[in-house]
Amino acid sequence: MTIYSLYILNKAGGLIYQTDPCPGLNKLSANEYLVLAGTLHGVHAIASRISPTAPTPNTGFFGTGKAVAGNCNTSGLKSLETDAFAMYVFQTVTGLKFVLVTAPGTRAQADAAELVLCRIYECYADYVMKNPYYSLDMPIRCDMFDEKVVEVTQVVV
Amino acid sequence: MSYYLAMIGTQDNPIYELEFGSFRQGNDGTSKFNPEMKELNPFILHAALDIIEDVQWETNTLYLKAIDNFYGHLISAYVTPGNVKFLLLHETKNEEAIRHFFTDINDLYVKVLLSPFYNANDPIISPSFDVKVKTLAKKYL
Amino acid sequence: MSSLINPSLSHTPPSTRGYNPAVGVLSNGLLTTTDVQHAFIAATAPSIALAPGKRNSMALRKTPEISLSALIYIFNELIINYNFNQSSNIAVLEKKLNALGYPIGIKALELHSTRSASPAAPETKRFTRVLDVLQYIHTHIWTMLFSKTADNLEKSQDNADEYMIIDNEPPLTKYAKPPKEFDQLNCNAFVAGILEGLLDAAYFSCSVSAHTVPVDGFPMRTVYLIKFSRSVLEREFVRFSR
Repeated sequence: MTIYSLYILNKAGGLIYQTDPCPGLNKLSANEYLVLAGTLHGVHAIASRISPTAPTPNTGFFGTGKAVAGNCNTSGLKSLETDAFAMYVFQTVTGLKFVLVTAPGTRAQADAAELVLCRIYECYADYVMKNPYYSLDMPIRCDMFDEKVVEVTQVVV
Repeated sequence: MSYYLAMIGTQDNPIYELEFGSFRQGNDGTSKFNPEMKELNPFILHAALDIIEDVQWETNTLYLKAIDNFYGHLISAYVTPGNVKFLLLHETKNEEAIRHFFTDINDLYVKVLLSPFYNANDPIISPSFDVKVKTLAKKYL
Repeated sequence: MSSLINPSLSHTPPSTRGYNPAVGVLSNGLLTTTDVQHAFIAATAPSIALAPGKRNSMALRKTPEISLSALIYIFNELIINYNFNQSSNIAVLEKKLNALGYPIGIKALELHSTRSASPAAPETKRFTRVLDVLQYIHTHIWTMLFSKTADNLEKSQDNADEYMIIDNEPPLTKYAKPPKEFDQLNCNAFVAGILEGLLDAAYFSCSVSAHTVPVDGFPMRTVYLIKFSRSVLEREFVRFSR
């Protein structure tokens, strides 16, 4: 599985982390990355609305009775496959999205991608959330997280 | 038989004192120091601190046994690893009982120290500590 | 009138309010009936002994452990962030972290030595030599605090009064490196404070500072530099040079 790109979006749809583990790809401009992230966020929200199995609004979040945010369900957009690339989305309970863009692949690759996303989520929980110098929802600038992400994506390649 | 116990902090400041008598042979635990002696007790124990300062580097045990005497009164000392000194003024030699007494007080002291509201070298004003020390006095002396 | 002239002989009503440092032995001297009743309650109430081999001993149970994540969250939010916002520069922050660790060191020393007593040897030892106490920190205190021993204990080659305890992966900073603008900051100043409090309480007065000295694979490798005051070394020389 070739991983082209990894995006991390905060719950408002802002891009907080972006890396291209695969060398030799053309870079976009910083602004284009942000637009891409925002678009993805919007599409995800729409997808969650048109899903026939979407939970009815206001059923509560973990039974707390609090209204569920529009795109804060467990389905929404999960994967996207084209001839040129495949994209896998993993959303955490707090609305954070991990997006992995890879070369197009088989069904088995989707499972592998899910595993990679879980491992990255784990790194995020350890090396970003436990970093006292990081403030929530801001762009991630943590050396140790960078190293771990490289490690995780390298293993898969 | 009367006893005077003092706990001295690391800055040579008293953090706890207790005057009591023997509970043995039908005594009720009240001290029988005469008035002059009552006044002198703290001074006698503080004088013993100089001796402790010397003796404590010669051995690495906590219990230093009787280190000083004053006209027939003996002074036993115990130094915790954190250098809080327990001093007991007593009249007769009774090493083992005093050792047990000190060891148990050390345990109590550590419990007081673990309280987040207690800082090292503060006076110990806890009533339950007071009562427990008295219980120990009754048990051993 | 006599109570004013001769306060230590005057009769004060017995109290069960414990020791009062302003009054002295009179505050808790008399054993009254109430006292005896309280004593009875205290004696029969279940209590946990700290030293092993006694009834309800805490030390006989498995070594208590807490989650590293929980510890790090508390350390980050309460200790670093709270003090971070109130500090003008790194030196001030490190000083504050050090001060927070100091009382913990005093308490840790007393607690550990009480717990480490065994039924065979109910009385633990004090430390009289510099190397003994450093070995003890390196092995036992580290195990108590972090469930591992420190990685190295070294004597400085340049200064006779300096020793170093080295931890390759300090648990509190396992997951985070300070950003570039705070390059010099090492939050293990908190741990340095614990060591300083412990050594001070044991009458090995010193100052301890934490320095980041990374090597390959250990980006947060920390050296705790312990600088003893002159009196400690003089005492060591006079007492033990022969």
